[in-house]
Amino acid sequence: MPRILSIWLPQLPLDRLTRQSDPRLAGPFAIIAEEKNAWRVTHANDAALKAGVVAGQALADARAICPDLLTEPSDVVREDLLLRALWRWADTLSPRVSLDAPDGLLLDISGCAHLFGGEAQMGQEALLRLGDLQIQAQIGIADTKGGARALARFGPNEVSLAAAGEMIAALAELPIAALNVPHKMVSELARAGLTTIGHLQSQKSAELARRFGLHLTQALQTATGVTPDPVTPKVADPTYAARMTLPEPIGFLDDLENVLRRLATQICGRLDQDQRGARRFQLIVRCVDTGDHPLTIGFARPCSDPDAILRQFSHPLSKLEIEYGADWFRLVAEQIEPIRLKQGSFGEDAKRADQRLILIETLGNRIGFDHVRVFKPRGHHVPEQEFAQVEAAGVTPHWHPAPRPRPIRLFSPPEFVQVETPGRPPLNFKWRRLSFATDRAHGPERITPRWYREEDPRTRDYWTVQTDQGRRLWLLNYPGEDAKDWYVAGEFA
Amino acid sequence: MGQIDLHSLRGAVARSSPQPTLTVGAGVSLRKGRIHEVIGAGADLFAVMAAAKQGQTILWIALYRDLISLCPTGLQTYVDIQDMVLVEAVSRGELLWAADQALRAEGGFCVILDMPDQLSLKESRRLQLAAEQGGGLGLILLRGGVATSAAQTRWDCSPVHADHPAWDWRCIKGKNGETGAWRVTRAGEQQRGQNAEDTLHMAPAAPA
Repeated sequence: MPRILSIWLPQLPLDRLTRQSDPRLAGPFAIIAEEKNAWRVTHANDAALKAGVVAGQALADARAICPDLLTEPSDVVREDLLLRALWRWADTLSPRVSLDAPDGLLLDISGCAHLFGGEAQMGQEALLRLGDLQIQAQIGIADTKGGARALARFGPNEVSLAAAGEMIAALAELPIAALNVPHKMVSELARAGLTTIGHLQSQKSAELARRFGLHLTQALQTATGVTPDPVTPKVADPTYAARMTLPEPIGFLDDLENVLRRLATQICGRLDQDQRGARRFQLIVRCVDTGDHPLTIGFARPCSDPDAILRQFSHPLSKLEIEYGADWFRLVAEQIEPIRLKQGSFGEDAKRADQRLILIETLGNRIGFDHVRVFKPRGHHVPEQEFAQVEAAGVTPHWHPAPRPRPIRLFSPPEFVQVETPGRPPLNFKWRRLSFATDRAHGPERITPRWYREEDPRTRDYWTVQTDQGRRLWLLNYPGEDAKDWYVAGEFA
Repeated sequence: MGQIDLHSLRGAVARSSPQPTLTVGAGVSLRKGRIHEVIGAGADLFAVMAAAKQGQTILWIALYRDLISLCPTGLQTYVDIQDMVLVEAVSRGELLWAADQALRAEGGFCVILDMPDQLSLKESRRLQLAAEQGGGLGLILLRGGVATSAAQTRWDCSPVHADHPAWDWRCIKGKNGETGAWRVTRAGEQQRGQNAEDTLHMAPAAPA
């Protein structure tokens, strides 16, 4: 039977400001948010609560009750960042932690509690450590996620415990809101005379489901452990980053490269250990006068080689204008991918592929990776849709030959032709200010576009034309209304 | 003024090992580690045929308008499309920089530079030096006329009106005097008994 510990952080937005030792928190203070077209209080500190402010109150009412009230709009992003920081911190208690946004954490503590001397002691220890971080919390420990959440939020004590296998008894006294069901359903149940979880348990679940929906019975079953509801731990991705702060600013290129080498060696060591590589590296250089300068390089394959990083950074670093020096550096590896180890030194093919990738990286870092491309087959029948150009970095090139050979140059859109002697195809015409006379023509090859797509719906006739002048052109004509107009769609070799 | 010893100089020239060359077809060969200029309406095909023989990664460096019209479903007849890497430059400076990097790079790539205008002597000399360092093959498609250059050879290529697809390849400039003219057709499209003396048979590089 798993044991779940739920941490509820009821005053997280306020705690965030407390940690910053915000002076406004001395008096009545509240966090507000816009809900249902009105600013409402979401969290209030003790002084405000004492003055009669409650969560959910409209701001205007709260101000009338407590004229000294100071407020701040909630900052969802920063609160989430704090919660995620705590998520990583919770590793100290259990290896399996999942986020219970917006204001909680769920820990699977099966087999961990004895390390702290028991579950109650573990809960106290967690509270103590959170207290050191100036975070208020309540803790519930139970067999299920729902049970632990309910006990943390509605339990009698700071650390509420439900003994193993006693979920039904432990939850019976708690109000229905503890089941995490919609507010509306709670009031509907209250009208039916059901206010505690114990009341629900005495009802037939089929009747409950019929009247209030499956959601309620499911919540009840998972909370009491009838249906399993495991913690799905999501380990925060390890960040591969290193930074360096110097006592004095530096500005020479050699010094910068030395710093970069030390940072790169550190990151690459960790990447190597995990058999991973990064496709992007970002170096932030903080100048003493002009602030942060982010420099980014990319790789065509996952890389964990400090020399390659240095080589690719040498160009952006040399472009960087540093007047009074820089004293803070941070190198971050992004787009982490596993490296497949391969034998490098043997085999001509592997060496060639490496050389090709190195060149793609060099070119891509200067002119942009979107400007270094390879062909990809697309398997359509419309000539200009048969292939596409895709970024070369990170793609294994493959090509399967198209069924019919096409011109080696394809003009899209096709270029208009000035017909001088009409015919099918024209006997004499002008294209790109050059005169051509048709000697032989082969065609037409009729192609109907895909009517189900938003594209030019006209049927096309293509003619291969050998001109007297030597050039072999692919003439295009739309049979039907525009049959008089001719275009050059491509040129054969 | 010291006297130049002509004999020792000739000896030194003779001793220097010959550069590896790339044979495109019977009689048509291009020196590796050099740049070659191509002009005319058939320049694309000349470059593609030479690149196919090189058997290495082909870098096609061009401006957007020249790059976007390349059609792999047509090129597949002559060259392995997997070997092609397209590099789109947005300015003349980027074109030259990319070509320089690609020629200089280790691996001896085949670099096709689609030049919208002329190349000055200084620029072509720089590309030539890069090609010597990398040992690859540089093919420069000159769209905007020719000028004095440091290229090894200059080719004028044009499709000709014949019973079967055919091209005239004329080497109009060669540093070592290697000029000549060839009428090229593709083997397989050749009718028996019609081969002229100077017809060059070329096998398709990839099965069509």
